[in-house]
Amino acid sequence: MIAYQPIVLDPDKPLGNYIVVYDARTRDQRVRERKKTGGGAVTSFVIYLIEKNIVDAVVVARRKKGLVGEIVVARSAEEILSTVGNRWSVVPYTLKLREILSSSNIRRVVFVGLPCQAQFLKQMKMFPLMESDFSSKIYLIISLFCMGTYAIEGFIDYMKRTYSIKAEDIVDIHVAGDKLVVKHSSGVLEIPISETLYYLQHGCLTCPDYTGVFSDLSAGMSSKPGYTLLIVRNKLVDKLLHEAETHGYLELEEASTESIEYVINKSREKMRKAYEYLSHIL
Amino acid sequence: MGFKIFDLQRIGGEAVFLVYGENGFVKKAYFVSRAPVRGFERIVRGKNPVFVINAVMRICGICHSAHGIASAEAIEDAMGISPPVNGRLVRESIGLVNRIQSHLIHLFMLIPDIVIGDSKTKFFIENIRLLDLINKLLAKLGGSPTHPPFIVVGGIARSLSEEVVGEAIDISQKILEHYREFKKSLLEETRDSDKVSLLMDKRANNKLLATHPYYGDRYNIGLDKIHVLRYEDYRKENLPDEIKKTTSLIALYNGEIVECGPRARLALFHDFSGNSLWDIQLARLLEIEISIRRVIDLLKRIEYGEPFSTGVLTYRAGRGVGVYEAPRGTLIHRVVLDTNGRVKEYRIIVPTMFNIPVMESVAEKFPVKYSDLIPRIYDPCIPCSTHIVKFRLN
Amino acid sequence: MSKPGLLLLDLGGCEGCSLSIIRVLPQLSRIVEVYSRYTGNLDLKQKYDYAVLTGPICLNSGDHIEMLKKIREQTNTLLAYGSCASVGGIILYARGGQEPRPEHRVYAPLSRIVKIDYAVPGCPPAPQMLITLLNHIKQGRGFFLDLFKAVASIHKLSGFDLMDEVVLPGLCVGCGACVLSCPTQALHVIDNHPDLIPEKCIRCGTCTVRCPRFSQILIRRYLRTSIQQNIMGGSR
Ligand SMILES: Cc1cc2nc3c(=O)[nH]c(=O)nc-3n(C[C@H](O)[C@H](O)[C@H](O)COP(=O)(O)OP(=O)(O)OC[C@H]3O[C@@H](n4cnc5c(N)ncnc54)[C@H](O)[C@@H]3O)c2cc1C
Ligand code: SF4
Ligand code: SF4
Ligand code: SF4
Ligand code: SF4
Repeated sequence: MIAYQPIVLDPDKPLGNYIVVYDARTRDQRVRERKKTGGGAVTSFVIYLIEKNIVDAVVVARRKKGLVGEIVVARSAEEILSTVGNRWSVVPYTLKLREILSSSNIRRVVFVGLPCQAQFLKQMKMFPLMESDFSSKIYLIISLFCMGTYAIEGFIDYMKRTYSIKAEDIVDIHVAGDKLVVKHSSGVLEIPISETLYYLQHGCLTCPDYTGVFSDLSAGMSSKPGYTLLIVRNKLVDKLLHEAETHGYLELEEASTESIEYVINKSREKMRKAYEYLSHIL
Repeated sequence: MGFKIFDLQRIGGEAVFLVYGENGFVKKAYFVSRAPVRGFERIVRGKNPVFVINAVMRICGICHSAHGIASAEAIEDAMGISPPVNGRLVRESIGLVNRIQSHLIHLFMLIPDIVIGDSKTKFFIENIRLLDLINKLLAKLGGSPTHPPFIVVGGIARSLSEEVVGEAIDISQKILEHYREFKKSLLEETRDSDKVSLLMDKRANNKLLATHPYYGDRYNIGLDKIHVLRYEDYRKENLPDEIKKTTSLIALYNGEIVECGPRARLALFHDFSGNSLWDIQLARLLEIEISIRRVIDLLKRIEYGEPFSTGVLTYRAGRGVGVYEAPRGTLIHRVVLDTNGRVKEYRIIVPTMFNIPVMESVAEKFPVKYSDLIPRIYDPCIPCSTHIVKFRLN
Repeated sequence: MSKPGLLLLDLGGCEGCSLSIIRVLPQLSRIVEVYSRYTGNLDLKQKYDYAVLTGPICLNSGDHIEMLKKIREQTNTLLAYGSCASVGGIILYARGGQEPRPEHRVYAPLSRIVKIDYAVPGCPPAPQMLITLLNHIKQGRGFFLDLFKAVASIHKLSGFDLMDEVVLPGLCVGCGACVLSCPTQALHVIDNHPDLIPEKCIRCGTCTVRCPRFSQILIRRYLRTSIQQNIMGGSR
């Protein structure tokens, strides 16, 4: 049975409940070769889980065309490697996902998604409202930090119109400070985030969750360059991470107070904005 | 003559059995259902057939699939289409799995009567374990263990892969093994039960009605021979208010009382000749085994690459009938579609409507003290029987 | 200490919700004493710690309304369990006129008649649901518990509301949670956002409480918790 875990979006606990925060990065050559930014810790961790048969499948998103992504149920390291990097959008869960997961060969699954999806998955796991829910298969929920996602068509059009960058040419997008860093086939572009806010999805403006408090593990950019910040929310994940470290998949070090403060501030900021915006529209 | 009201427990739904007794034996019995009438025939009026199937499945949380299938059959008949072979194979399987599901739920509620001593708990747990497997199987074939969404007009909504069907066959085989063990020890444990002997001693020689051993056959029943009556019209006597409040109707076949359900099916289509009340339960137990074997057989006949659904739906005016052997007996859905393909008229006859007069007449001369066993051995379905309407022909 | 008593009763639904609970009876019996028609110990006279009511209430059936009110009085924590009981579900379409009781015309979720403590959609909810819920109620608070508390004060919730409150106003972020939650597959993704196939929606409300946006709106609107007041500074 699933143990009780008090979960709230509490301004006094902007990161939710957690037991430890790490700065982490990959030590896996395969991941290093491919990763664009960040520490590649998430990829390395899920590869570890697959290769050691701790889980049967990992649900991640892969880039399909332009900036549009698709959900994949990856069952091998190779498949996971093909998904390294960010899909700068929410990739919707579809009925097909349930169909694939209904196979009896898939018993334990790790989900990588955004905070909104972590909330849904946690609810499904704890409070199965449907008999066809795959609750019992949800082994771990990994949430990526998220400051919001763009309304994809509008954003692509804006990049093309303003900077003549086509969606296909975009290699990676990430946030650094108050800049959006867009790596593309012929260089790197830095745009002030404020300039892109107009293209954020409206729904994201009401979203109070930056790190994914409903997840088991949250991952985002660390203020330490080249590292992934990992917020560990339960003992099981902590144990698994250390095992992955022992087996040489990744390296962990406790995050500095500054790194943590930085995420706390961003989380508070997002929460405040969300409640403000929500009170406007309700 | 004193009367006794049994607030029926361990049945699916809200009902009372009211009996008048003389010297401790039943003189007259009345089955009165209390659940409010939700009126599904009215709910579906004016609606698109897609809605109708999802709606009528929710008449009953026990025999959902039976309603879904009868409805799909009726609508297809009205549209002039029929599902492809695979669709029909899976649909029949879904129906049979639902039949087993229903029989097991009934058994769960009957165990305290027929099993004596401490082994009750063991059987409860075994029963729930079997039910879990059956639910898993229905989830695979129908999309969900309750109100399976894959039952659609034209066949089955999903093309099942070889892998899924393989898994379904494995589960079925497991159920068969578990069930054989379970049944054997259950029958041993019930040998000394007083209530079982009481049921064994009671004959029930009513005419039987069934249309098909596994599925349902609209050509094997005379629809014009069915008469549906309000309870007071059937009784033709001055009834106390308590009874008049009943929320169910009565159905007769050829003007006579007929029993439908597991015993009728086995007697008419298999070698089964028992005519005591206990034989009804034995028929149910036997039907579980027969059904699961049939499911395995059906699933093995699926042709991969062939369609599971007709794909083409013609929305046109028409009328149709769906006859299906629900867990409790013959279930009939009739539909009239208007020129937009929407429902103009909808009528449902449920098996419990046939069985209510049977239960009442069989109860006569039974010990008053145990007479609640009579309706319960017939497994009346109250959510269903309260959602029916007077059946007018043409 | 004796186990808390739990009444399980269907008031006029299809019994699917109650039966899903029966499947976890062994586990459930470890934490509560279950009283129900299925287990043969139904008793409407006694006091209960919990009542788990399934099925809708017929507003034209005085007997059932009385029964419901009486259960409310005798119960500490009242749960409207499943779509019919919590948000009306399929039966909101009822319009009466059917023999032998054509006067049974209007059906509603239980919250129309009595105060409900927690309302859980699902047609039917998965068996495990009730166990988790009881454990959470016992332990106190939590986001999802708040959500089910919020649902307890509304009288309808369906795919139509999801469209009206989230998708059409542009609040949908396209996560797909609703699509994965619909029992009749009435939601499909068009251009990265869900769209409703109206004739498939049975008004079960599952999609709405699964939607991260809608659940937030529900809590915000129907449950002014101290958290929000904290953050908004005072009691606006
Ligand atoms: C839309 C979005 C917004 C983000 N916003 C922030 C932010 O504001 N601040 C911040 O610090 N970090 C943010 N991140 C997270 C950050 O960019 C990195 O993903 C994170 O630091 C993990 O780094 P990594 O190198 O360990 O990940 P990797 O090792 O590259 O692994 C990431 C994994 O996540 C999967 N993935 C990527 N995108 C999605 C998606 N949309 N849905 C499902 N799976 C996906 C990939 O397939 C890959 O398997 C965001 C991520 C996304 C997708
Ligand atoms: S901001 Fe919130 S709602 Fe928007 S994509 Fe991120 S987690 Fe989802
Ligand atoms: S919510 Fe669904 S399963 Fe539950 S009583 Fe209503 S129709 Fe039946
Ligand atoms: S859209 Fe689906 S999940 Fe939502 S209320 Fe309708 S039937 Fe239920
Ligand atoms: S659950 Fe809500 S936010 Fe997610 S896709 Fe559906 S409507 Fe949009």
